[in-house]
Amino acid sequence: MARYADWYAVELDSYLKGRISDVQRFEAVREVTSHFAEHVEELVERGMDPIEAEKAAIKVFGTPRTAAVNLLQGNCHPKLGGFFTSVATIAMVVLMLMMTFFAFCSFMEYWPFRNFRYLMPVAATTATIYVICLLVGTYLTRTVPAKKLLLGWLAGATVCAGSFVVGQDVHFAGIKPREFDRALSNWKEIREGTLKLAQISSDAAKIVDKYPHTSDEMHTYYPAADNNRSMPTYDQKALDLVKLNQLSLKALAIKHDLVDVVGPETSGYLVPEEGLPYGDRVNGYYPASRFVASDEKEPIARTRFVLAYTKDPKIVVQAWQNSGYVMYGTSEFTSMASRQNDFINRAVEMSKRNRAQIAGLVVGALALYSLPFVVISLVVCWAITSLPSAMVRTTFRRRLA
Amino acid sequence: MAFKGDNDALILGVLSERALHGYEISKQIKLKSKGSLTLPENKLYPALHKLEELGLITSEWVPQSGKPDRKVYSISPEGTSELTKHRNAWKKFMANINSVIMDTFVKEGK
Repeated sequence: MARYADWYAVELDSYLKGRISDVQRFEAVREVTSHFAEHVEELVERGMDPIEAEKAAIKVFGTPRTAAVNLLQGNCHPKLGGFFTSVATIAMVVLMLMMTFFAFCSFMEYWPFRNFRYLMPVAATTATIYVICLLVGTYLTRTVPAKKLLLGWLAGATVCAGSFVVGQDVHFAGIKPREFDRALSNWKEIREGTLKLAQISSDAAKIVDKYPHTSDEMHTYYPAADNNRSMPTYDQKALDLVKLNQLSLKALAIKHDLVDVVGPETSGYLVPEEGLPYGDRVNGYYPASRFVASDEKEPIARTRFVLAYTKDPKIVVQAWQNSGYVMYGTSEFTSMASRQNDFINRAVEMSKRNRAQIAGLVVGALALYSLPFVVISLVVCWAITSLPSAMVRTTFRRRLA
Repeated sequence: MAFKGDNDALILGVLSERALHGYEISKQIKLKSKGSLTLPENKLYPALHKLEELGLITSEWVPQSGKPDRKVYSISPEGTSELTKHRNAWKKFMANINSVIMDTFVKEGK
């Protein structure tokens, strides 16, 4: 019949297996079993029931897991395991600092975030180091480094919170508070410009719609028209519409960095450069794109509309008509203006925050991102340490049965 | 603290008299100190293994009839000289403590 001493020896052996040499393991288990037997014998001699004596001996010696950990303390593996868990703790703190930086960038709409994208693989590598070291360390020591890791987490969080409270200026998008009003005015001007571009695009669409596109349409609108004649009459009508909508004036009223004017400025009409007939194109080439997103220096989304001057009213209509295929139209400009508006509202809201509020947000985000990660790691570590014990108990129950 | 590594000193002290096995070492420490000192089993074996690794004690398996074999430990010459160092350190420590807390006591004739 199996006894507690047998169970103790088997379970102790399972904890030591793979962590010290087979000879050392054999000797350690043998020695503990001998000690156990001596103790039980003495208790039985004093009149204790053998089973109770075994239970009492186990209580004095500690659980097999505790005994294994104590026995491993003099061995090199736990030292190595301790090294791995220490590296894991350091990696976790580094990881937290990186995540805080990302959270900070995200909360502050801080433009260098885009320039620090390469930190993402570094963060992933650090996370991998953390997980590997934690698992290897736990495997070697058979202890869940909960205290060490949670202390590391708290240390990282404290450093982050402290740095935000005392070290950082409250700013938004890299704009210092004293420069914020000027930046806000600039952003508002950009938004107004985008709305004007939307209006220009809308007006241009009206001109194109008014202009008969095909011969059938021409006869519908102008039944007396001669099929053999081209469209000088309608050119004049289109020109009237151009003048009525004052396309050029509107374009000129837009902030300069939203409009690229290609070629020399004349007193003619501004048209989309891409819509010009080939021979009339400035320097005879297409610009790379009609709309250029500009996000290198400022986080606000922007477009740049490439225009060219022409004096010929026919070309004005033709250019707007030809530009109909390009992907940016009124709706795109409106959508861009809406995004710019959101950005400005967020900027105004965020500029009102103080350091403590920002620290609260960032550290809150840090807790959100990293604590589940730490908890999952600890659960995995706990599973690793408990698995041999569970397997041994199952085997032991089988033996008892 | 002036007196460190006391578990090692206690083990070397009881082994200086005769060779003992683990359980007996634990019992002897308790017996000799009249129950005021105990070396828990979970601390005893790591300490024994460390001393053995340092060469201060040696061990030998002794077979027993009808019982599990015993691993009997004995002090080595290196262990004896280490014990002497511990003894001297303890003497010095006691003298220092006495000079602080006993001088007044003796002067007052108590």
